[in-house]
This record gives sequence, structure tokens and C-alpha cells, in this order.
Amino acid sequence: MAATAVNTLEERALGAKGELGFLTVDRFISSMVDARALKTALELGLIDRLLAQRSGSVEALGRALGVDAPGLRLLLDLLAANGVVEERAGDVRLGKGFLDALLYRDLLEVKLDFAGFSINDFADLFTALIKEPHGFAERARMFQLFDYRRCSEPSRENYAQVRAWMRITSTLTRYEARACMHLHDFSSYRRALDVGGNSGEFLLQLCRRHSQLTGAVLDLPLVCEIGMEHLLPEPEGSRIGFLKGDVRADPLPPGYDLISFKSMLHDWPAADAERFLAKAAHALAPGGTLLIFERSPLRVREATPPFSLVPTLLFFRSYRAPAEYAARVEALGLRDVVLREIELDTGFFVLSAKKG
Amino acid sequence: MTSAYCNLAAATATRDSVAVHLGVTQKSEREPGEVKPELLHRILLAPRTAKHLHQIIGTLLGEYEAQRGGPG
Repeated sequence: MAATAVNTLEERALGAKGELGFLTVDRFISSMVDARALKTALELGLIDRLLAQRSGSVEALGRALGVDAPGLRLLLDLLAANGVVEERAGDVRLGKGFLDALLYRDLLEVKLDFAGFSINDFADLFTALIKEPHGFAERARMFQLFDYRRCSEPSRENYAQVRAWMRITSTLTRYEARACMHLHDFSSYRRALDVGGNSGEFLLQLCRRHSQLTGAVLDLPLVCEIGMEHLLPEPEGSRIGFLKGDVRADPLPPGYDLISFKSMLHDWPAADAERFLAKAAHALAPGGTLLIFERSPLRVREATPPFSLVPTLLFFRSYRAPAEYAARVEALGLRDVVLREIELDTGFFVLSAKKG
Repeated sequence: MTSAYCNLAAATATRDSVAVHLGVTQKSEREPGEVKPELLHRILLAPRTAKHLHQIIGTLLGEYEAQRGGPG
């Protein structure tokens, strides 16, 4: 492989603070018990109450939440063991580390929901996932949620279901985009096309950082409808358009100096992914850049994955090594292939290549 | 008093208010087939008013759908 690999210690060390500080949310979703206790604390309004009042006595919390003393005791003990709350002399307050995690509350709540959603698939169907991947895909709730066949007809049921998974993917993208922008310089691009770009969140983050940039999302019709609603309140929304289409059947429009695939190619069989890349290479403006931002194959040998990664485990067959994509874009005649990797909740990579 | 047509709606909430965003889809001049969201109105409501609006619209849509079926 001729790709230039760039992977510095500095990039790996970014996680603790700064723009990758969002990684701290995983610390509070490390086990199913921790996650369930935290979700209950959010559902009961315990977290909001402690945020608003800074602290409260155990008795006052019990009265306010309508929870009896044994129930509240169990919940507070579980939360304390996870560092969500601290308790001194009967006074309860949020832990400092958890207050940092609450800066990313949207991500925390989405990861809690997503991991919770995946419990039954993991518990009941893991043997099928290992031995009969097709049977798993047919039975798993996860694959019913991400059913792209629902993305063409705007029925109320389809709208609700597509919106549900778009909330998850958009929130994850909101933060993962920071890592992508750290690894790749987008300051020279003028027009970007994000293929399978979902709600437009990836382009939104790019446009927010780079005022010269405009872009378009190409995605299935219902995804575009929901994406336009998603961007409506955003000042940068007017710089982002939507193209209702299907990359499986439609050619990609010309005239873009950046064509990106963000967490999209892994959803499709290798032959489809190759066709999408070929279409992008063909449509790309001369001198333009094709960019792939994907999760790397999972590495679980060193440590058992936390509960927050159970949804990702269910997709473990989908993630391809960056070398596979590098070989494909080189075969398409693209040049200056650069690979950069970063450790987020799992490994991610950005692979870029230029059209000659 | 003004009237406006909108075909896009979104809402966001903070502790003190609910913001309703209303807009339209706009065709791109540059790319055929490309549409963009255009925000026309941002309406800030007290949470109590937003809840009242939610109830009114829920009731109205229930009646609409009972007579004409879902709007899709």
C-alpha cells in the first residue's frame, strides 16, 4: 500500500481534554448497571434537580422525586459507585467528573439510549451474530431500526423510525466530526458533497468551522426531508443543500472539490462500496479530494469493550481496514493517498486522496 | 397580522423557552435538484405556551386525521 500513514502521539493524547473532551461520557456508561442507574437518574429528574440546586439532602430528594427511602438509597449508591454523585453527611451533589460529562449531555443521552436499545440483541442473539450473521440481521432489532427501505416513503411510521436513528447518527457525528477536522485540513475546499450525508450534521460542523465552504448532502428522500428540518435552526443551514437520490442508482453530480463518505461505506457490501467510490472519483472536480472517515475494525483483545460499545460490537463485521479503501482509491487512479488514524471510543481513520 | 406558508418546522428547547423554527425548502440556483432549508420565522414561546400549542395542534391533527387520514 502506498498510502502515507500519519498517526502521532499528539493525536492520540488529545482525548483527555480540549476538542475531544466528549470522550469522557463513555466513562459513565462502562457497564449495563452503571448505564441503567444513570438513565433512571435522568428519567426521574434527579440529575436536573442536582444541576439546578447544586446539592440536596437525601430526604429532600426522596420527597421531590417521589421515591421511597430504600429505592433512593440503592440508586444513590449505584450512582456514587460510578462517580455520578458524591455524598457527604447526607448531602448529595454531582461528581466533578460527571459535571464535565454533562457538557456533552446530548451525546451521553444518545449513547445511553443506543446501548440500552442493543441489550436484547446482544443478550439473545450473540450466538447468531457469531455463527449466523444473516439470521442475526433478520432478527435483530438494531437492523430493523436502520432499515433504509423506510427512507423513501414519507409515511408517519417511516418518519418516526427514520428520525429515531437519525438522532443517534447525527449526535455521534456532531462529535466525531471534531476528530475528522483535527486530522484533515478542510480550509481549502469550496464545495463539498457528503454522500449518504444523513441530516447534514457532518457538513454543518465543517461549514461552522470553515466560512468559505458550501455543501450538499446526497441521501434518500425521507432522510433529506428530516435533514432539512434538522438544519433549519442553524445559521449555516442556508449553505447546505440536499439532493434527494440514491447513490446505488444515480450518478453523483459534478463540480465538487470535496466528496466525503462519513461512516457510510461500512453499511454496504464491498462491491457496492467500490461502486460508490468509483462514482465519486468520476464526479470529483480535477484536483479535488475524496475523503473517507470511518471506524476501524474493532480491537477487543486488549480489554473487554465497555457497555457503551455494545451497539458498535453488533456491527463488527462491517468495519473494514483502511488499507482496503486505500487500495481501492489507488486502483481508481487517485493520488496522494493519506491515511490518518485516531483513537476515539474505538479507532477511527481519515483516508484522503486527490484526483489528478 | 401577517400570514406565511411554511413547509419545514423544527423546535428546540432551553430551560426557559421553546423555540419554534418555521421555514420553506428553497431550490438551489447552482445545482438542479438541490434544495435548501430557509428559515423564515423563529418564534420563542414560554414552556407553558408551548405546551398549550402542542395540545391545540395535537387535537386539531387528531380531528384532521379522523376525517381525512394521516397527512403522511
